[in-house]
Amino acid sequence: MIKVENVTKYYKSGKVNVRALNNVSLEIKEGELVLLSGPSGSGKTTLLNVIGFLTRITKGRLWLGDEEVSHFPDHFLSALRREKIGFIFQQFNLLSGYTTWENVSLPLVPMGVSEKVRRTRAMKLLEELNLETRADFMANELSGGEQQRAAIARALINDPGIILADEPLSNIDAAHVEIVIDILGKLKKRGKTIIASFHHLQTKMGKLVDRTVYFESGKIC
Amino acid sequence: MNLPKHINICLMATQNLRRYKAKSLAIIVPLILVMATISFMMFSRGGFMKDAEIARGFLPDVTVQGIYAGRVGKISLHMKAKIEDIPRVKQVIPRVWGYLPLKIGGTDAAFTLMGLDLNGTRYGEKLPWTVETGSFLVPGDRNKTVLGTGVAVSFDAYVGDRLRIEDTLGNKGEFEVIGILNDTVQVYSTDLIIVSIEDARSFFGYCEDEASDLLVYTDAPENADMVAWDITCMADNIRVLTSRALTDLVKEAFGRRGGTFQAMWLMLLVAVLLLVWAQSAHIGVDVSKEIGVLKALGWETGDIIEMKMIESLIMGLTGTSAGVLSGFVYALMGTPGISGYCLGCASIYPKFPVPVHCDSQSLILLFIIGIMPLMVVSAVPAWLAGIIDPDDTIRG
Repeated sequence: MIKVENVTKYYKSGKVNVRALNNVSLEIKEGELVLLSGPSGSGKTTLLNVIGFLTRITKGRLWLGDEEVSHFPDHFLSALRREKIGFIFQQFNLLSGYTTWENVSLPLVPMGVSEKVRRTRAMKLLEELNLETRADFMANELSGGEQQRAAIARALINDPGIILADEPLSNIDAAHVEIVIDILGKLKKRGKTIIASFHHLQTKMGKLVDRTVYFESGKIC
Repeated sequence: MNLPKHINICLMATQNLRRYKAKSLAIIVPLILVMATISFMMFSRGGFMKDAEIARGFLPDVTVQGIYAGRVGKISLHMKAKIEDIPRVKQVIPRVWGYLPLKIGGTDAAFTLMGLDLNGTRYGEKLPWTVETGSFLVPGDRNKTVLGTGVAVSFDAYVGDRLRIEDTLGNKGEFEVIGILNDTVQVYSTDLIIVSIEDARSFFGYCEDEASDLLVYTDAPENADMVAWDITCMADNIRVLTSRALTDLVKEAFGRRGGTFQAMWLMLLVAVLLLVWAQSAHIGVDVSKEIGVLKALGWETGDIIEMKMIESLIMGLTGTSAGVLSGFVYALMGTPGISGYCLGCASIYPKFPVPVHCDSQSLILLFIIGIMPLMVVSAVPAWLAGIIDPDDTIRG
């Protein structure tokens, strides 16, 4: 269970404080697939960042299971990200000096998984996403859609319980959208919790979606 | 301790050096140059210091010179008898010596012709030089000479050759070469032409009762200061030097030269560190984003710092090892190009290898200088980026 309780988040943009989340409360049960929808700048990505411990909240409380994690020290949050969370970034955030498979396997490095096993696991995911032929390409040699799929593979490599996806279908062509949706469906069946944001309502997700949460100006409406 | 994790991070660090070759080389190459320069200066300076220390063991306890019109001049042998009467003085040996300005193949050179009193002196105990080939002078030897290695090479002289010397001041002499010194104490022996005191008097135009200086040996080295004081009180117009004062003079001269270079190259080292800092602190863009992404993927700040420090350690070890090795080879080659400055007597011709001394303390110091700042300089920006929320770091 993930519980966001009266969370407010301010960003500093230059000299101005921007309120990205305004007293947001939300509870997501284990195994749920929740869509976050709303216009640009409405707070969807910020909420994903908060749930993924990529940014600290200004006010409020954040729960993961029975534990309140809002004030956990940095290394505990790193461990939670490593073991429980897979994050698909809107901007992919692949490292340009690394090959595709190396990027995909990065979360396994601090887990002590050997290079051989890392490559095997990365290759399996890349095959599922039709990217096996690009495994040894440098990340910056991939197209936008390929980078998106590589980012999805990277989010799944540590078999996380929670998958946070920021606009996961935005750069993917029609042929590969079905593959990604299929993967998300399989993950849901395996009991994974999935929270995904979409710029506009994605009808393609269809019956997979348990709930859609609408955002506007940092608030749930 | 999660050993597999540390092995993975170590391997990643190694691979990163290959991934970012240009950046790695931009740090390693200047580091090699700086460390080579610092190390050859350190090894050469160490060589001079060691030479000075070895030679000190052979120096007379006290050297007495005459002063005329404020300048060093001849000393009368009447002083010899007076000094011999001072308690605790074991022996007084007169010496006649001077510099020979010469032209060899059109090149300026300066050697030292030294005349020793061969009677009643066991030079094997008193002088730092041993003969490499041939033999040393014995009482009664006239028109014979033993050469320092630098002189022998300059004149292409061997044992058995006859050596004609005519300096640019008009002094002339012809000597049979009977020995060539070894190079145990190069600073002191390389430019020497050793002859009997009589031959030296004849060459420089000294009278029978004159010498350049008197070498005073005491019954125990700790008495040198006391004896020196007694001699100072004995007469005006003399200069009295203890062996410690002479050694300090040599160390001071070479130490200061070495120090000048070291100060110069330490400044260059600082420049390299600033360059490294600038590269690492390029953290606003690529490196910052990389650190943010790694943290977002579950890396801890400590893991990232560990990786960056291993990268620096490998670069530092590579750069310092290559630099120190190059510096050592350059020093062994005689520091071509700057040996004149190092030695302070550039006119010695043709070769005066700068002595080289390398010990574990110097090596440890060099590796600390080469590696530690680099590790700190790379770890701090990584730490600064690591303690910020990953989202902020990724956004830059």
